[in-house]
Amino acid sequence: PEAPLFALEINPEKAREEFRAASQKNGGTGVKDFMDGMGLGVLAEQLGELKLGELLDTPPPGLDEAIAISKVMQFLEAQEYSMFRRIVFDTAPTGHTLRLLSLPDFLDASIGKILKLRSKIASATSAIKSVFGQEVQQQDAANKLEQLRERMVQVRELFRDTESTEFIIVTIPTVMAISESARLHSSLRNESVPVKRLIVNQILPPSSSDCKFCAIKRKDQTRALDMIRNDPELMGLNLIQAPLVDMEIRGVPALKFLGDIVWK
Amino acid sequence: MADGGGDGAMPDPTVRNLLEQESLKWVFVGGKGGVGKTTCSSILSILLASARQSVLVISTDPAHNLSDAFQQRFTKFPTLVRGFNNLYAMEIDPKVENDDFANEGMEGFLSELTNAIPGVDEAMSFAEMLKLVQTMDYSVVVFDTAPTGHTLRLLQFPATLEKGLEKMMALKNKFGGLLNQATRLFGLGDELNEDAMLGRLEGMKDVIEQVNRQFKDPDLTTFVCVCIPEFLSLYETERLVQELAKFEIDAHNIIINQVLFDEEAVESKLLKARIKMQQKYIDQFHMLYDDFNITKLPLLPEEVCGVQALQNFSRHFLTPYKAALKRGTVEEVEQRVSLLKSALQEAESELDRLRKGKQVA
Repeated sequence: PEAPLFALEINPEKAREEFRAASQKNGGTGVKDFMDGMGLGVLAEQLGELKLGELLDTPPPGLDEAIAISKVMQFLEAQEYSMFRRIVFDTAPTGHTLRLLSLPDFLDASIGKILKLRSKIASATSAIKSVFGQEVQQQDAANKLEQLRERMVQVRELFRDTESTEFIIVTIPTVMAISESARLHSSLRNESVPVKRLIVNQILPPSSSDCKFCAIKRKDQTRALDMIRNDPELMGLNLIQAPLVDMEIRGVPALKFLGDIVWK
Repeated sequence: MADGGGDGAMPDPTVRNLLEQESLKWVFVGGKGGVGKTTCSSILSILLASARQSVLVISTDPAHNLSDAFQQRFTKFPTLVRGFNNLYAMEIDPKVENDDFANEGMEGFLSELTNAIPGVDEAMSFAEMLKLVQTMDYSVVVFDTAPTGHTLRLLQFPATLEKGLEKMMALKNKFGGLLNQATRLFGLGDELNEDAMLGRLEGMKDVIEQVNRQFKDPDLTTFVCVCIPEFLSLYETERLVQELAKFEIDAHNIIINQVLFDEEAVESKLLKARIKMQQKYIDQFHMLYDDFNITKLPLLPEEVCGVQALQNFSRHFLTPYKAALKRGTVEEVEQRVSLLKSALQEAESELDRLRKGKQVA
């Protein structure tokens, strides 16, 4: 059955432009609303003169992961995405994947801190304003942060739901790559992320006429595969072997070809 | 970008130019995941240790493969590599230390705000590490970096931080008095030492400014791009080189790893096909980067892991790899004839068996 297949590539540059456009459209209303909520609206206006937005010209590391999280949230909420039976994330290499998976926790804690700071400062400024007989409360920005925090909890739970989510580790048959995969699995286990399968890519296929190079390479790869079978972190996973083929795997027909081998 | 070989000189098919550039202080090694960055940065640091007084190799990739490459456990503090007296290694811990931003008063405020932004903790750790390394006075520092996209952000961060600190100082100048009043009202007057905090910020700003200038100086800093002869890696290398140019960071060395050479040991049809495929992209690399020094490293049948293997493999960084037997030489043709004779004998035996089988039928 030829089910429809869609693809999406996250573009941090584009997301940044969208963010800046949104900020300008509201005239910085978001930040101003938030600071108004703390009684610091005048300060926000003066801060605008410093052009802090320039800092966005060089976004910090981790932006890709943050955007990926926002996409996950979009999938959870938007009706237009409910048509997808399966969603596959092609994640960044190991280190950043771990950051991606821990980001909901991080953001949850971060938003908590921001809200706490807000309360602290708001109560102080309220004390000041009370002297002048003024009392204003602005809850919109804070409410939005609370909503965001709740969504973070949802995403975190989604990443650890054994019924609907699986993390598939992909590696190549070398000692270094398998060591890295073992560390990855250990971290995922600590995060309670479900992992069932390990794909080992670029395996030399069996051949009746081995050349000297292939014979040595095959022996080296076998040593790596044995390492998997003996590793306490990896031995429990279902092992799938993907062969090294003579043509380049690019384009849909080639991808289908290799896919039929791996996912049979 | 500077011509590695000097004016008019042909590009160098090795990394010797990096060893000969005595002014070099920062070397970044980066590329797509899975192309062999860590092997290359490990070997570069070994080679530099033979040419320079002291070398530090740092892994900024959260996956930390440096310990695997050297088969020695490294931490976030420089550790002497076994077998060397002037080569040190460390792996950066993404968790930022609270040393400089003790969690109290306004400093706690800054710390909490800093940690509230995804990725900034790691970038701050990078900045702290730069400050630390500056005071340790290594001749040259080699960075085994995270895969491409992330590396570009980290490299740019000193400039970002410099701008951020400028904003902070402007903020102080503008709101200094108000800030004092506010902190007193918040009940932080006794805890907050504004001058000490700002002093630390200014100190960090000075270090970051210095490092930022050094990163843009081709005499002091260069980026070595590691790739493999495949389409995705070529595409990503081009993206990396473009971004580095935008950041004004020098790049004039490319290492093409995992190259299959047409030699005696490589006879299978599968590998022959892959050689042909790789050659297409190697040609494109040479066309696109005709003024870069391009080093081609052979794909070995066995993994390069551990100091001894790294040392052995390092010769390919200094001398272009020669196939075991050149096509067309007497020895090579004799060997080919010998192989063909064996194959012929095998085929004849098979034919005899088939004929006998046919007669019986």
